[in-house]
Amino acid sequence: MIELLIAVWVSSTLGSIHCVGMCGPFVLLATRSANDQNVNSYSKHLAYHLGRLTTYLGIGVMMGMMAYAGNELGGRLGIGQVAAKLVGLTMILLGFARVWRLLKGSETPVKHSRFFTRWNALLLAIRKRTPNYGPTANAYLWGLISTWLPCGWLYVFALAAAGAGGVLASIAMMAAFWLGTLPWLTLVASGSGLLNRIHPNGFQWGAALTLIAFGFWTWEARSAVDLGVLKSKSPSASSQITLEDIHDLTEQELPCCSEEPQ
Amino acid sequence: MSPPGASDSRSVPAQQQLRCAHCGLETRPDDPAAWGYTQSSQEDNKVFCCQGCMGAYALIHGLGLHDFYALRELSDRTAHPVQNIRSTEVLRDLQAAGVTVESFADGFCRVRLGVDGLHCAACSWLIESVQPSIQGLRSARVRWSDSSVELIYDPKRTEPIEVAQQIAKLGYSLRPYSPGGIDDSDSIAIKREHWKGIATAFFLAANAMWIGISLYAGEATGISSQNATFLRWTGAILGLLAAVFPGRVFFQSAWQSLRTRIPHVDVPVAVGLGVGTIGSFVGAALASGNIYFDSLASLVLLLRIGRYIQYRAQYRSGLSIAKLLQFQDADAIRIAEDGQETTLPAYRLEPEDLIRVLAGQKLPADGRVERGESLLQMAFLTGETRPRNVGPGDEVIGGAFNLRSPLWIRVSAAAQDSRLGKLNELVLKATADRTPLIQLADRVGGVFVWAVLAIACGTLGSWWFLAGWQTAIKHTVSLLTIACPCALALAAPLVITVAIGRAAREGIWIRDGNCLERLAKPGKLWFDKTGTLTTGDLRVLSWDGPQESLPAIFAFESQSDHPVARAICDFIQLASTNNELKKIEPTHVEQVYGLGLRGQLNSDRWTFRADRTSACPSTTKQQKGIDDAEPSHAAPLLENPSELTVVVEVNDVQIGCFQLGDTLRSGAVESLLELKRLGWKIGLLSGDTRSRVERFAANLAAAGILWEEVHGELTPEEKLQRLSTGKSSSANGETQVMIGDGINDAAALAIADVGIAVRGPSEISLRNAPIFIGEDPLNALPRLMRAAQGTVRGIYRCFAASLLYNAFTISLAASGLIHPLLAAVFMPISGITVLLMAWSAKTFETQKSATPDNPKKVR
Repeated sequence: MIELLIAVWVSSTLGSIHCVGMCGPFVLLATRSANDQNVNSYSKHLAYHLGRLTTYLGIGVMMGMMAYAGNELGGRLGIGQVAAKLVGLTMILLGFARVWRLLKGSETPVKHSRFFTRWNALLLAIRKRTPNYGPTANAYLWGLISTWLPCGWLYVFALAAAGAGGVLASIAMMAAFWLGTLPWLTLVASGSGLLNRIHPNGFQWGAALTLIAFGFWTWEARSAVDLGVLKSKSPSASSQITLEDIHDLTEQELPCCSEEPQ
Repeated sequence: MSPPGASDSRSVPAQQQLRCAHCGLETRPDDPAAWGYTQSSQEDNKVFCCQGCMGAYALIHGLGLHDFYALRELSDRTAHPVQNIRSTEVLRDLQAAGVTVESFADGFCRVRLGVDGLHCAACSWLIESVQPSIQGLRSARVRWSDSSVELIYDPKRTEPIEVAQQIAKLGYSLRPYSPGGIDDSDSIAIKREHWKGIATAFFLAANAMWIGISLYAGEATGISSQNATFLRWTGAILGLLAAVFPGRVFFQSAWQSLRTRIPHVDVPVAVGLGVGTIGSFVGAALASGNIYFDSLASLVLLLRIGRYIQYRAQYRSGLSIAKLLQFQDADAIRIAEDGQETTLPAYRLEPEDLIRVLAGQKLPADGRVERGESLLQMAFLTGETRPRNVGPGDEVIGGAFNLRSPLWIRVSAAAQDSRLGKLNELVLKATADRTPLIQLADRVGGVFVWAVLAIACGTLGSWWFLAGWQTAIKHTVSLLTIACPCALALAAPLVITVAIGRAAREGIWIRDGNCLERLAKPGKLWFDKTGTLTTGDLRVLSWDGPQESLPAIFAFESQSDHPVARAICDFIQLASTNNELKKIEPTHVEQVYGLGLRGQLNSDRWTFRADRTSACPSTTKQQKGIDDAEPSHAAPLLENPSELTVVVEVNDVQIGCFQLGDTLRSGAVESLLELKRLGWKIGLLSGDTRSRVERFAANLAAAGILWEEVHGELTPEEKLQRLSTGKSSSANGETQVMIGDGINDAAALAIADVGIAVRGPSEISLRNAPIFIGEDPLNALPRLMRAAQGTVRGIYRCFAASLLYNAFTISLAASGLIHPLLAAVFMPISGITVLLMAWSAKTFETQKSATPDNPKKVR
């Protein structure tokens, strides 16, 4: 599990430069007060990122529960690990579709969507109706609400979290993702001009390949762990033990009986 | 599906670059159907790269935070202006880039461009070396002090963009030149590059060191051969990465140097790194002997740190020189149409701006007085010793010192277009001159690189024979790293540039750096008399008449602009109080050609008759030497003989007489004596009458001045002939220096080994003579001579230090007494030492005292 979390964190750290483009403005709005553009306070930064973490953890819980439910349901129906397989397959397909579009050289049109327009209007209404509790609370709200905007990169990790197989694992993966986004989103507030210096193609390729990689992992590695457990319980495993192995064991001194302190 | 109204936006040309309205990402311009639009913004249709950005835009706009995007763009632009100007493509259209191109009569053009990437004097060798390879490029001269290059080219055969592209291949980029000197944004970009290199080198060196420690520890306590091999190869790869990435700057410079066949300081370093890398891999492959890769990575790290330190030292030095050469550093008060006043740097003024100059301030630009009256001291620029009265309508020049009261001036030319700016440019050009000493340093530097490589080959061979290949590589790398011809190449141009900059601060304008070398050795000084040793202005030498009639005389003379009238007014003003002078108002004052002045006061008829005689008609002289009123100007003994008398008559009865004449410049005797002490021979070449010149010379001889030769009644041609004869007859090739008027003595100033103009409009004088001293020239001359000697001494001292350093360290390295890492530490130290020595060379020492007639010193 720890390897997976590191992989998520590394992917997020390397790929989250794209977050700067979309979420960078929110960082600036959340951490700079209206009266003084130069004031950057740690508490506002912290509040903003905690707001994002809240959303991500919420997504982690949802994804984990869905994966758990899928597994339970699949188990009862006799198709164990169905959620992992489905999620993995979805990720691979999405990843390859992305690669295909990149190779083809034309973008999928960003169409006007009624659903997203309504969704955006809903977020706006929530934000507008939230009472003003002060700059730090506002920063928290920016973090909390902006993360509900449509974001392909977030969905890659949400899918990966769904394939993690459990609620806690899913939450941990989303936390690792959040951790990976921190450096870039903190840098953006330093006034380093990051907002205008992102190469879109690099990100697109990075996202597509990450998606495929996590897809394969979810499809194969998650299943392998469980299969391994099953394998150890199978009678065929013990049949490989030979007499020579047992003989060797008798010649070894047991730790309990050694004269020299270990 | 596109929203209504989208069709309007689609009229954007297909090739136009479109950016996401929220995050700024480029979108695909070839597919208009790919553009996304939002209706959440009621104002206009926008293009977005994704649904997320569309939502973010809607959210921000919906909350009324429209201004955010404008603010963000502004902050991004100000944070990174460098990104937009780095491309040489901007030079394709010089006019649009704001680059000034000067055209010559022979069809050639001259342009000055900024250079990015200069990190040591050796870089200028490389850049100047492109000249032969570009047809139509007559010359490329790098000016190190402000990181710029001057190109003289034939526009029919080449363009600056071609030169820029060629120079870009060498690793330097050209951009529009900013006269403000070194741009801070350049420094930030270069600094960032240095830090990236250092950080990468540190990462690789630290890891290589850990692996090295593991291997050493493994050797001591036992390590499996498989692990040892793995670690050795990993370390070798880290060493290779260090050489390839952070160390590539040395290889690039060396490669460029080999391509252009110009020896560069980085050639030995690159060879050293190359040898080290090969040694590292051979060690890993043979799996025996010393481990070398950790040293290689550390060497790259130290070299990068050293390069950075050297760059910073040179940058600071360059910045100081740029400031030294930036004469228009004054602030200006600009008055807007609504009367609001803004203080801004003088170089930001534009023609037609209205400015206010307070008393005690320098004029920040050329212009015309709109309001106010004052007295301007312009000796700094014209050599005119007397302050000039100015009032509304008078033209004034930037750099003049406002002595009395505020002036409101309408700017006619500012910054580089002003007379001071043009003078500045002439002086700046001198800093790019390749003087004989600099050329010598270049040649020695070139030979040096090949000599070091030859010694390195010898060291490698000897140590290989004596102690094996690993020791040989170590010592060779030490030698190649520690040898530094950079200091040698850096010293001479730096010392000369610093001297020229300091001289300008002292009011000594030097157009040609060669002069400093020529003036270092004493020779013969030829002085012109009028306007050079004397002030060249008429002054009242004596007044023979009643003291109480002076206010009435002033009242008449102040009505005239004639130089004689001005001289008399100045004399009376110094001898009287203002209250006395204001009470009288004459009538019917008129100037009569060939006679003088006449007018009416009460019922009396006053007449002022000028006569070219040297004595007053009256025999009862009441001497009033000018030294009584103005003691600093001349001792009576040394006064020039009277040239003119003005007889004052009231109702046709003579009441007194003025004697007028030229006076000796202040401090003339002391300066001439000082020059004699410094070993200079002194001669006088004058167009004045022989008798007057001889009397003048005799007066000075009485004060201790020993004249080598005195010649009067000389035409300009005869002055030329005298100088030519002097040049050819001096057997030991002693320097012939002519000191005279920038316009009247132009030919003599040009033919002399060194011409020093002391009078006349500064920029014209500086074209005729390589040196112009406008202010207090005779006192400045000994300082100039001493500074010239100090400059040459400074250059030789730097040469000596550099050669000694190299001889000593190369011997140690060849003997195997210096570790490569220590060598990497030593290398930048040598360069920085020479920088410090050049900066501290005794050229012009700042004057401590300030005098009222020398406003420069009270700035």
